[in-house]
Amino acid sequence: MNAEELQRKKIAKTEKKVSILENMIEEKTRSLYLADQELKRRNSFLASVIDILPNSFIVIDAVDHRILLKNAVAHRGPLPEGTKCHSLIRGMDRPCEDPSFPCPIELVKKEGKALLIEHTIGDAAGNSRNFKEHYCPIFDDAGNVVQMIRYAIDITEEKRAKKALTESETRVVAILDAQPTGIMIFDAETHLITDVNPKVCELIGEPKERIVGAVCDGYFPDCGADYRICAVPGEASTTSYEALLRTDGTRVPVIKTIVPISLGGRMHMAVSVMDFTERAKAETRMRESEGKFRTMFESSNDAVMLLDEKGFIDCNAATLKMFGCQTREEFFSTNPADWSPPTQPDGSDSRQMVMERNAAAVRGGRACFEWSHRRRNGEEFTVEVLLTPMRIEGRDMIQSTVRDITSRKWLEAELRRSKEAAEAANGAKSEFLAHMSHEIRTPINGVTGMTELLMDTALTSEQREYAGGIRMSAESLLVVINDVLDFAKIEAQKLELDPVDFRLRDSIADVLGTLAFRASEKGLELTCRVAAEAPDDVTGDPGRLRQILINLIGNAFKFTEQGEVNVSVDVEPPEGDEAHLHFAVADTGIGIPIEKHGSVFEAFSQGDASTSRTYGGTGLGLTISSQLVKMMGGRIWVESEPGAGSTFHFTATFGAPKRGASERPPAGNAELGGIRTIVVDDNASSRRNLREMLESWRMDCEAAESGLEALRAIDEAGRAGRPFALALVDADMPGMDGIDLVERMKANGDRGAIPIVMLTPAGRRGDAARGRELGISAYLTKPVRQSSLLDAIMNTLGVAPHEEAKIRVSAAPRPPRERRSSLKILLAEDNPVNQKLTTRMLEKHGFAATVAGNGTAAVAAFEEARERPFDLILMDVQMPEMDGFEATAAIREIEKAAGTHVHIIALTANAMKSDRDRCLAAGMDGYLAKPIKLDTLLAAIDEVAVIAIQPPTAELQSKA
Amino acid sequence: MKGIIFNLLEEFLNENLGEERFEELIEGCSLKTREPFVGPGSYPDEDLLAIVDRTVEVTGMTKPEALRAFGKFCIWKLAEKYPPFFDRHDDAKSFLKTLNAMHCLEVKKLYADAKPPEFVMQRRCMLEGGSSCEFELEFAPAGVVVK
Repeated sequence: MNAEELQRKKIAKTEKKVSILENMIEEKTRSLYLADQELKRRNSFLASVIDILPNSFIVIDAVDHRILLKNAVAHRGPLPEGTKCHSLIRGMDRPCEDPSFPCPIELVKKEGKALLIEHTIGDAAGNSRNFKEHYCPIFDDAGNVVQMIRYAIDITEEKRAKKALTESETRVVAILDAQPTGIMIFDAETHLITDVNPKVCELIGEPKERIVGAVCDGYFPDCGADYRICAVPGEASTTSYEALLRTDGTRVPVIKTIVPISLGGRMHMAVSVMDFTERAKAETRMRESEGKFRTMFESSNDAVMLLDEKGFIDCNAATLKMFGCQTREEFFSTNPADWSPPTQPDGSDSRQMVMERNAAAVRGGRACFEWSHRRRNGEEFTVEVLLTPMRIEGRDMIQSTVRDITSRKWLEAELRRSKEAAEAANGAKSEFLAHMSHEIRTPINGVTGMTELLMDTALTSEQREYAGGIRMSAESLLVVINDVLDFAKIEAQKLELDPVDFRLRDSIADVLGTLAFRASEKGLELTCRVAAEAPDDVTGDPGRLRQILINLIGNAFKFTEQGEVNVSVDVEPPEGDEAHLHFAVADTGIGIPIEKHGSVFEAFSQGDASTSRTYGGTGLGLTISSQLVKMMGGRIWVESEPGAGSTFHFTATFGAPKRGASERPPAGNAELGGIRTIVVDDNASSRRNLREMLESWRMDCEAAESGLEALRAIDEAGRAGRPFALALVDADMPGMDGIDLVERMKANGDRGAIPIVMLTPAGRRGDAARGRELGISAYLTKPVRQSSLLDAIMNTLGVAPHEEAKIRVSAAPRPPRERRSSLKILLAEDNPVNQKLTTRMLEKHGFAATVAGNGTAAVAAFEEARERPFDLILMDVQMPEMDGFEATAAIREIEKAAGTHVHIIALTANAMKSDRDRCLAAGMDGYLAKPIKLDTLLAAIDEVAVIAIQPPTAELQSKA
Repeated sequence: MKGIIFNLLEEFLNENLGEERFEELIEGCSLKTREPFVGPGSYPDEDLLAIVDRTVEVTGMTKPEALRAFGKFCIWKLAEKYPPFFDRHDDAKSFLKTLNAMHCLEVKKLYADAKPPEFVMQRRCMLEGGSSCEFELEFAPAGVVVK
């Protein structure tokens, strides 16, 4: 191929290529045009689409943040060229470069992926709105973000709705949780429980986690196939009574209600489960109660009927019987007014009264009254009616309970008659008692008095012995009578205490003093200890306290053959001004078996029926004591074992003395404080008592239980340079007795210097001469009175006795005997023995008395003696014709005219307090209980003598 | 196959064989296409392979040798004509990774009727236990729509 041909070929090929390319270009140009047209159409379409979007749509240049495209929601109308995104996006109107708010565009550029942010911005109206903003990057071929689409959705409403929904849900949950009813939700298809409230957990007894997810059928074992029927979707609620199976296997009766609900597109069942236990119980109770009341209603003997304003509604069988009706229908057909007579026994109109009573019942809640009803047969009868208003099923009704009281009325009348008769009988009994007392005392008075007189005469020793026997028997009889009288008074509740101020320690010491002789006769040691804290002055009945103590101590003597009887008084915590004292009388006697402890205080009872014969006595002493203790606000009890002795305890309450402050010397005696003393006594109780007394005076005290021990202690004290300044020595000790001890002490110079107070049992004063020989400073009889001991110690140690002691020993001035004989006395006494006795007593003491046999005679004698009037009238209360009260009244009447006043002293065997009051009320000046004791008679006369005889001035002064 | 590849092959042969031998070689090929190849045109692959086969016959080179030599020639020419595809890359690896994107997006953009191949790269790396890093390129069959 030559070059030319090659060239030609080349040109031809090039021309051909040009032609092909021209065609291609034409083709391409046409298709480009079409593509351009299509593009424009598409852009327009896209712009329309964007424009109609309901939310803000912006396309932003990723590099310079210019807005490239926006829709109408983002901004209405054209935007100036180069507007940056932040000016358009509200809430972001700050430069995109602001570092404090990282521009989302930059964030998307950095991350290279779409971003969704939420933020709140304020709208033009100032409300905050929430937006969800989508930033979608547009990449170039190289993967660079070149543009950004921001699509913002206003979610304010959505958020609000969501919040409202959450709140609503919370509220619903709270409501469900607080329900007293159990609520359970389960899937209608699978029956799996999806939710429960706490009440369900409580009912089932399992935590929520265990219940949720379980099949609900398991909890309702009785439901069975019915369950499927219950669970038909769309069906309204169904309710059933069934049992809920608890985890522990027990069943709870429940009311179950099922309501279908749709949850999350699935059909569910909401079950409410109400615990029916209480209601079921209540219903049972109600049924039982109704049955009970119905039975009571029907079986009542009272007629019970129910009425409203129209008439009877209901009645019981007793109603029909009471009014004489055969059937209820018969009764219901009557008018309530038919069953009452037109007028009541008091003359009031029945109809009118019924209305008033009804109104009263409605007003006061009930009305109770007596009424006269009429039976069908016309018979009238008395009833007691109780009207009770009640409201049943919204209607006001009245229940009328009618009781036939015909027989009760009769019984009441009978009872009243019986009571009156009993009261009369009781009065008669009291009167009888007083008479008996008088009738018995009077002759005994004669016996004792006359015997005393007899014994004052010259008698052979045999006669004297017999006379002594008579006196002792009479005195014993008097004790028995006093006991019986006291007991009778207690039975008749006529025993009264006579409270006065008295000195407690003295009173107790007096009792012990009178009993000391009996103790020493029997060879018993009688000791007494009164706690230092015990008050000295108290208010109470010393006579009765004395009676109790004599009873208990006497009892102790009676049942104790050897050993001791210890009396102690302790103080219990005080209440206000009152002193609570605890007395104990302990003996070492035969004791009382425990089963008899309760009965010893019963009347006519001793430890053993046979002992009554062995030990004698009425057996009333403890009963009387027990009653007296009760009256003193205390109690009495015994602690004892056979063979181990007995301790009788009693407590009693005493008031504070009305006189005010106690006159007792201060307990801590300054003169005695610290004085070294040794107490020598073999008896432990006695030792303790003495120590307590000494220590209450702050004395420095040691004790020894035998003579040898005492000598040792004395020597030791001497060696230690603290010798004893005083020794209290019991005379009666085993081995070395008191006298032996003193002799041994005197034999030694140092020991011999200690002053000695000797304590002897009652009736052992015989060796006083020997004592004086030995230089014993003082003798005291056991049991030792605290005041006597104090005096003895004071005297022995040469300390001035206390002022108090002096006053105590001084006696009231007694008018000289010769003057007394000039008294003119009238004795009004009907009993000849007593006349003689009293006159003899008076004569023996130098008085002459005029005797009057009864009240009339006494008044006559008083009138006759006008010239030289009587100084004193001894007036027996119970006399024939005119008694002592009348006679006194007559004398006082006569005196009124004369302006004089004769001293009248009542003599009475009625030893009751009311008698004394009666005497004083009758105008008498004093009172002496029979049998008359010489001492009391003389004391009474002395009192009158002081007034009656014009005493010299000096004597008046001495008395003051 | 696009006409540009034919044009490049013609240019390659023209330079290496001279105008005369090149014309003889083309005329010795039985081609389906009658008119001359132009860059924007599309031509059957068989025509290209016919030219390659004829070249192997005429030159006595093996077919891989011939294709390799053509490839070396081609890549520089393409780099001159389409700098945006090459400028971004500093090495072959990053370039190769863009092959699919380049063909799919760019080639198609220009020539809607082009049927570019898909390149699947299997990488074996020293980090994964290999002794070297190598790329194995597989050409998916033409006509498969690649996404």
